[in-house]
Amino acid sequence: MKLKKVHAYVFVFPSLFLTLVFGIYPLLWALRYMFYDYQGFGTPVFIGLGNFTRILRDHQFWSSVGNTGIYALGKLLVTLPMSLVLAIILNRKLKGRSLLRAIYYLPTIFSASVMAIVFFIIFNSYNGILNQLLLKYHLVSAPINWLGADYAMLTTIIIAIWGAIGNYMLLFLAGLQGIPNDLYEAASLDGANEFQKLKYVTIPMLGPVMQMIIMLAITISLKGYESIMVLTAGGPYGKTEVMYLYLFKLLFPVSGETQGIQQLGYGSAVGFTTALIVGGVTLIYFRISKKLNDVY
Amino acid sequence: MKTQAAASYPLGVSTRGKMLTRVGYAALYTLLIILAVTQLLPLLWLMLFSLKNNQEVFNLPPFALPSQPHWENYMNVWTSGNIGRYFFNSVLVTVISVVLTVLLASFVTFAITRMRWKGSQLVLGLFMVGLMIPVHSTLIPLFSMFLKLHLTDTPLSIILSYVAFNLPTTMMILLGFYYALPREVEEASVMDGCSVNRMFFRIVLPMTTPVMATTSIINMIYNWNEFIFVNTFISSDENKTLTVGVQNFIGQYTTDWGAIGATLMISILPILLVFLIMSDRIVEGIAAGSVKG
Repeated sequence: MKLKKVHAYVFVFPSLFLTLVFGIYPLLWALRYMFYDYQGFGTPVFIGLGNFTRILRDHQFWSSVGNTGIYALGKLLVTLPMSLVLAIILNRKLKGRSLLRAIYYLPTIFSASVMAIVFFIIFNSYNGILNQLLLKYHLVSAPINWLGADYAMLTTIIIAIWGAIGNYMLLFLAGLQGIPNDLYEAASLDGANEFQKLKYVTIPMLGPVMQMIIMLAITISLKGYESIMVLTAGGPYGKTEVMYLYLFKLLFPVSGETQGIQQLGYGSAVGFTTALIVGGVTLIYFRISKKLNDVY
Repeated sequence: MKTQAAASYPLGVSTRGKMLTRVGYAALYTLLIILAVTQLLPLLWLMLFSLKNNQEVFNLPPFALPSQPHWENYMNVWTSGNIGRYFFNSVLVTVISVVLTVLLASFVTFAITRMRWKGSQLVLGLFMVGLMIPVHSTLIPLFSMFLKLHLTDTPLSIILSYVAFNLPTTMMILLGFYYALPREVEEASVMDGCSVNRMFFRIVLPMTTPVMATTSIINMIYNWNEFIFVNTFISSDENKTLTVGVQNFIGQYTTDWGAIGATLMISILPILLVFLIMSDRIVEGIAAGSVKG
């Protein structure tokens, strides 16, 4: 037993060290400065909870939180069921399944920022190919302003779904492969049909893995911002501004933006608040899903 | 022939039932193929686009081939910059980070799920915190830390950051699988006098190959495409990776659309090639596996 304990510490130490030094310590640094008025130069001025009262009044931030909710919900409500269904279909013996798996997974391997440039050219309202095609086949009478105020969020969600389906399909597939074949054989002997096997073997057995995958999906989609940054930069009129994009702009302001000054103190406070929101949502999900698991 | 086969089928599936299944399969395949085309179109369009000149980009239909492919777009982009160097840096940083991350995460996950020790839940909690840490708010403290350690503008700064920030996600994926691993194998190996190290490297790691492949790919893709860390920590051109290097080219060629297409293609080509060569292994290998109880 004693040997085991020493081993556990040896196994854990390198990762713990890296996480503490490169994750937790910078986090504490940021935590300290969220109580300061600090622009990155000069002396930081302690202002107590000043940054947080500012957050409460910061409409731009709260609208970015709302946008993040719409973005994540829109993305996950389509992506997760679709990828689960695809995984279940492509887990069966089906001709060409490995090719289909590869094709669905393909978008995942590309950089979000690079693909956002590609989609920017595709969804462009003036000479974008999507409008060109829609007009050519008379599906629309006038070009749709895909990146305008009405459709920008929809466009970003469509692109996010395009990029995410294959990823979750593959994770679900790996989970499906973890289910022992004996269970299916036993179910067959008991006369279960395909649907019953799905309901009584696949879904319950996939439970723990599914819980982890969905948790991962939630945090990832709440943190997503890179493709939006390239595609719309949060515009038009902040319609696609998500939490992490807003935060990024505070820490690394782009010249020409309304907030052209680097705000490390306020940025740290916003960073903390966004992390609280992501953590809170994840925790609520974890609690609910655990209860659901207990019921089964 | 077919009716005979149906008649000899043990459960007595009628030909009519079989027809329905066939229609069902046709519908299923149609849907699957439509989705596959949707997933492929942007890429196909980018490929065509990268072989056109400005005039063809605007005058030809989007999915029309150019009269003759303008390979010189690639030549121009390749010769006018450091793409070879960026490529080498991307490979170096990606490979080292992925190996370290997956190995270290396996260590931790094994220790948490398979050993009893004080603080295992606390450590798990710390990694969960790591999952929530916003990368941006750590950029500035990390930069000043690397500056003090004389690590800014070195590949090491990037590798350390990648490993640290990918560990929690990697662990989260591994955890579910480790919990599902049968304990009997370990118990048997302990009974046979197997040491912890031996058990881990000889039994547990091979059993988790499929999930390690999954996490390796997720890590590889993340590291290859990562932008923010490289952009912040690396200042000299010779240490930049492909994603950051490519952004320079886009800036340079704002009026040459073919060159923009070629640049985008080059930045995704290496990982696309790896994927095309290994997709069977990657996708099938992840799924088919030894995790079965």
